[in-house]
Amino acid sequence: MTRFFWRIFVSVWAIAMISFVIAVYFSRWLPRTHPDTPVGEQLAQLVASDMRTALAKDSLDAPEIAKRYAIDVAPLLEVFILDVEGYDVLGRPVPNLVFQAIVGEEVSGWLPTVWPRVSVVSEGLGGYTVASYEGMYIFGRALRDPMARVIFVTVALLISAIVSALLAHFVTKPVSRLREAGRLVASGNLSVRVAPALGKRQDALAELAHDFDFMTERVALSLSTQRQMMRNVSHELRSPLARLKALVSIAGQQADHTQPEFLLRLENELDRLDELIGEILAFSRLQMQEDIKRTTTDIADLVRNIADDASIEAESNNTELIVDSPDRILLAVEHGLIHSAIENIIRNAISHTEANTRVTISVTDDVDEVSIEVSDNGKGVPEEALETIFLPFYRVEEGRTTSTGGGGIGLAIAAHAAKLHKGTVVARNLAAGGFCVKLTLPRN
Amino acid sequence: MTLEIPKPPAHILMVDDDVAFTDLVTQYVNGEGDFEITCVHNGSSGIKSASSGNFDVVVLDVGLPQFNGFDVLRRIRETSDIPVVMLTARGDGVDRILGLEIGADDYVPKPCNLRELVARLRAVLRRGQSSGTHNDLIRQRIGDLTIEPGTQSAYLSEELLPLTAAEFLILTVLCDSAGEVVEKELIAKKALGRRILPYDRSVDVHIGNLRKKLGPLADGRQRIKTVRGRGYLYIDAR
Repeated sequence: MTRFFWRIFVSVWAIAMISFVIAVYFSRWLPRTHPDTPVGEQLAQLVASDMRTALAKDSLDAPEIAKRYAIDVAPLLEVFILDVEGYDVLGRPVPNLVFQAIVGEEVSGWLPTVWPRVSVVSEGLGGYTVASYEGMYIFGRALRDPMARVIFVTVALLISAIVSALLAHFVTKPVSRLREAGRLVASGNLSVRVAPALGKRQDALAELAHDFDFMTERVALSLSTQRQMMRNVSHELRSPLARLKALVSIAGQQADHTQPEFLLRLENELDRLDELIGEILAFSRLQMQEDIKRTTTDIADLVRNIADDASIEAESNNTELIVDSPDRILLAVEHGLIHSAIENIIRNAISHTEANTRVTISVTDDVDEVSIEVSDNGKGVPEEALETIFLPFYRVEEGRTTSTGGGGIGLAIAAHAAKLHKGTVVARNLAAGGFCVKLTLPRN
Repeated sequence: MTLEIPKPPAHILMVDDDVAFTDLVTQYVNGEGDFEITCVHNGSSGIKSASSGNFDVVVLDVGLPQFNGFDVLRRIRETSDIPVVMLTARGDGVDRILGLEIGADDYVPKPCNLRELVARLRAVLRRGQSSGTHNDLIRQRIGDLTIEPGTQSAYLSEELLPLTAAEFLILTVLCDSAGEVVEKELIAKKALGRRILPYDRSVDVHIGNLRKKLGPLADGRQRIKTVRGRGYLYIDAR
């Protein structure tokens, strides 16, 4: 993003600089005025010499000469012919500055020592006074002075740099906001909106931001509709399933309590179906949760409790559960969520570890985080599946049979709980064989 | 075990809005021969019937429309201590614990095998009957707590404790071996009439309810102590 900013900044600035240089270069061919005598003074001298010529011929018509030199560039350059009483022969108002110059007073005003310049000629003009008034043409004048040139260039550079930076910022800011929002949306946060952050902008980028927000809104809506439908369907599925199980029970009863094997299998499949529906419902409930209510919880105690609960399941597989934890770790978490996250990681380990092996749960209390690491002695998963196992109903191998208890949402629940707590959950295969899932929860 | 089936036939009240399902349950239960069953399909008639005194046990579905099962259970508990078995959705641990906390005697996941449902009902009903075979019908005193197995009642400083049948039985089991650890497995077997299942919190919830109703000892300790990984212990403060 910074590169984008610099690119725009440099391009805009380069354009400004190049046009500046070109303009300066071509200005060399402009017609040059006499460098030594200021224009105003030259003009006054010219008028005075005309008048002297006319005087010599004894045919002086001052208003006529004044008219001839009444040029259009006033107030930048103007020449007056004043009579004995000090009035302009054409009746034009005469600036005070001119009077002050004639009387010989110190000229005051804005930058008086330099500007404006008044030139007065009165010798041999038969009582008339010629006064020229040269106004300000800042740039032309400033560029004549080498020091002024340095200041001028520095100021021009600074201003153009600031303007270019502002322009670049103006363009890149909404783009970087959009990018940030895009990433957030990709990570599952559909509540991001860009337009409000751009204020009252109404240009194409603002429109893009509005379109982006609209898109996000629609995606969020269709996602939630779909989840809702999933929930409703799952819910609806339970009623016929309950009747089916009741029917199987009746069939078993009429077979005089000696259940044929196929009835048992029928029941097992129905249970599996029910389990799946339960998992879908549990997961969609979890997905709808966006905030957590933290209460101070003793993580060490929580882990030991879960291990106790899991011991029944572990014993049936002849698995040894080992807990290695400090006595007490206080952390603000949503108790229920973290309970089910840890429980699911432990159950996953118990169901995948080989019979007659151990599952180790070690809890570490660091300065800025608490981590719970669960290692089993199972087959592990292929390296490329280490991230995908946290997706709901993900299966490591195609065509895995249900007897190995694959799929499910246990790890997905753990991952979601970790995310809500701004923590992480990662899996890795152990070098010595076995598989390890580590849940890390930050302190704040 | 079947010798302890109560006679005359126990009358079940089933509260579930799925008529097709209750018809099947009725058919199954009638096939068992030792039950009568009446089904109602909404919460308000469930509350009315449960409090009528005509029934021995209530089977209550959590997912009722309008009043849900918990509301119905709360209303029933206001007037009656009739044994209640909740039908909860599988995998919803929160529902189970909530039901037990409000005062359900047990729960069965729905969809369920009806054999399992009937077995639970028998266990719950057995609890309700005073177990005449017990040789410890004499009242027992532990500190300020008095237990009368004959009338199935417990008193704290001569004041009657409002215990459900399950809670009373768990308290009895703990007090029979006061000062010793009683394993969760044994508590479940003796008081709930069944094995403990993986991730089954029933015993813990009943113990939690008991602690609330009993209050702490004079010195501030809990009367019932948790012994991690082993079970529970009633502190013998005699």
